[in-house]
Amino acid sequence: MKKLLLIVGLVLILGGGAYWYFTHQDSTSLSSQLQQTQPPYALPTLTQDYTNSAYKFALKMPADFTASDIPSGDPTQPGDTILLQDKNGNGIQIVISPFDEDTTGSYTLTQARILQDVPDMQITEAQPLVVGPNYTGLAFKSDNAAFGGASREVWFVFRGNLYQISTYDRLDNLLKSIFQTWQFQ
Amino acid sequence: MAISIKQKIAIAAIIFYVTFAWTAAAHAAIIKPANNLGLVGYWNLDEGAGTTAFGHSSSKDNGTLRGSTFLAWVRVYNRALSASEVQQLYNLGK
Repeated sequence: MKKLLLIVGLVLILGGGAYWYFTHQDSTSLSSQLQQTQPPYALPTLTQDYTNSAYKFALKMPADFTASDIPSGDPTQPGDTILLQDKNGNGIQIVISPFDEDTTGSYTLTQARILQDVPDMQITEAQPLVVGPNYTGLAFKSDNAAFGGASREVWFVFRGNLYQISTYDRLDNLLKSIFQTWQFQ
Repeated sequence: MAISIKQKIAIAAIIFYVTFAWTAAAHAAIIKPANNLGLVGYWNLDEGAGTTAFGHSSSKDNGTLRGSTFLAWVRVYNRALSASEVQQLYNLGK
């Protein structure tokens, strides 16, 4: 009887382990397959002007892009999310939220400061990013699961607001190109 | 002048508030952003008055409140409305 229970227990443990391994491996493979099957993104010319009068900045984006400005709607977490994207969802997301640590008109957003609030944030290929004479942010690659596990991020603080610009890793060139045209007014 | 226990507790509470609670409230938190790329429709449903729910996505699909049983706008922050709830409340003109 004891032997039978032992065998059943072993079968359950091995079966459970095998199930976990294969389902986990399948999801990983599927995720990487999806990444690989995405057609390469051809960077279009940035010919369309986008101006944000609320936050006083302007940039250029591809002609077929549309802009959406989504207010938070939650008074406990004010801010805006701006989506600049084509009809297939290729584009960049800009999340702007109040950031009251900028009290002197200058701020350097560091990797350490981000990890202080988001300790599980993976930050690789980090590069300081100068935004005007008094503000420095960070451009980096991350593993944000919301962006398929590989995202490109440009985060900085400017005039009391935190800007979090994100996109898929495969659209890194698009993010760089658009950000090069970014101008605060 | 001796300080009573109540006074000591009050002083300790003030010190705790100033050093921890006030400091925590003074700083904005950084959170990992969600991904909204690919979003085709978005309504905050917080207009508070009138019969129009303004669409914020690039399609700018405004919704129209219909029916006479809806008495007042109610803010809902803890969850999104289900598709059937949205369907019941709004005619998107499609």
